[in-house]
Amino acid sequence: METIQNFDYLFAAFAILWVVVFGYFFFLTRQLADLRREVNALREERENQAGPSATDPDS
Amino acid sequence: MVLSRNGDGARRWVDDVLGVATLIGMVGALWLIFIYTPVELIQGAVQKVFYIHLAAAWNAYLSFFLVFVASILYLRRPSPAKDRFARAWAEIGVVFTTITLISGAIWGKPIWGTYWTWDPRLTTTLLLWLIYVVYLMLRGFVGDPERGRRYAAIVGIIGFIDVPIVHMSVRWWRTLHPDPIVATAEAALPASMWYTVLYCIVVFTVLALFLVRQRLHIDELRETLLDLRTTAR
Repeated sequence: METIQNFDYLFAAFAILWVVVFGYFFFLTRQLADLRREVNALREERENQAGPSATDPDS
Repeated sequence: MVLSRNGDGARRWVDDVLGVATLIGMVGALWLIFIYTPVELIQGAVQKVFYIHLAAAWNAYLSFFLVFVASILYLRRPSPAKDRFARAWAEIGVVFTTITLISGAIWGKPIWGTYWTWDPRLTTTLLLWLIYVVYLMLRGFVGDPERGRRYAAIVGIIGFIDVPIVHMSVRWWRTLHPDPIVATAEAALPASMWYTVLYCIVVFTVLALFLVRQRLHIDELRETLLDLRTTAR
């Protein structure tokens, strides 16, 4: 019985798995980083506007 | 750091644990797939695509089931958290369905001689992918956000009907796709393959949890940003 050897297809399937998973993860982490930066900037801006005596109860 | 608030440290700790567990789990999965399991006699090395194909399909089913449950709960008592939960799992489900479709196509080429055929299993899986892509796009098309969330919940419930159809398609219709071999009473797999496929399902589920947490955090940050912008005006 002849065994089919298709390493190219095996490699392609695993390569695409990693590309999809890491691509999606990269997409999420970039969005997270951008949002964190924006939220931090806005909070700092508001804290500065409130004056040096203003304290954040959560921090 | 301004963002270091209550729960943020704990969240990051859980994310780190899940991320490391996923990474170690993936390395373990590769060892099991390429070293531990034997090469299948007829299909040869390409049969090893089976492990990621099945684990991805399982996670797609799980994700869409969670969308289904969250959508029912949303319609019973609407809340942004339930909608966020459903949307995050829908996105993860689409990612895993994409992996299932692509890995299946690549596996199909050397075995069936074609990347794609309008076989019932393949067609219903493509339909499943399209339903949840529409689910994710729907909110953008509807002007009123609340109505958009409600429509999405309805699609999330109706769309789930396709999951059992996908699963049963190989029994209901004549198809190229093999019958289910994991959820069957007969031992269709040798022990090493069986353990490996179960392990891959667990690792992919941990990966899904890790990714969904990131996705949920994005939505929470978007809402925080919106609140900050609204109150700043």
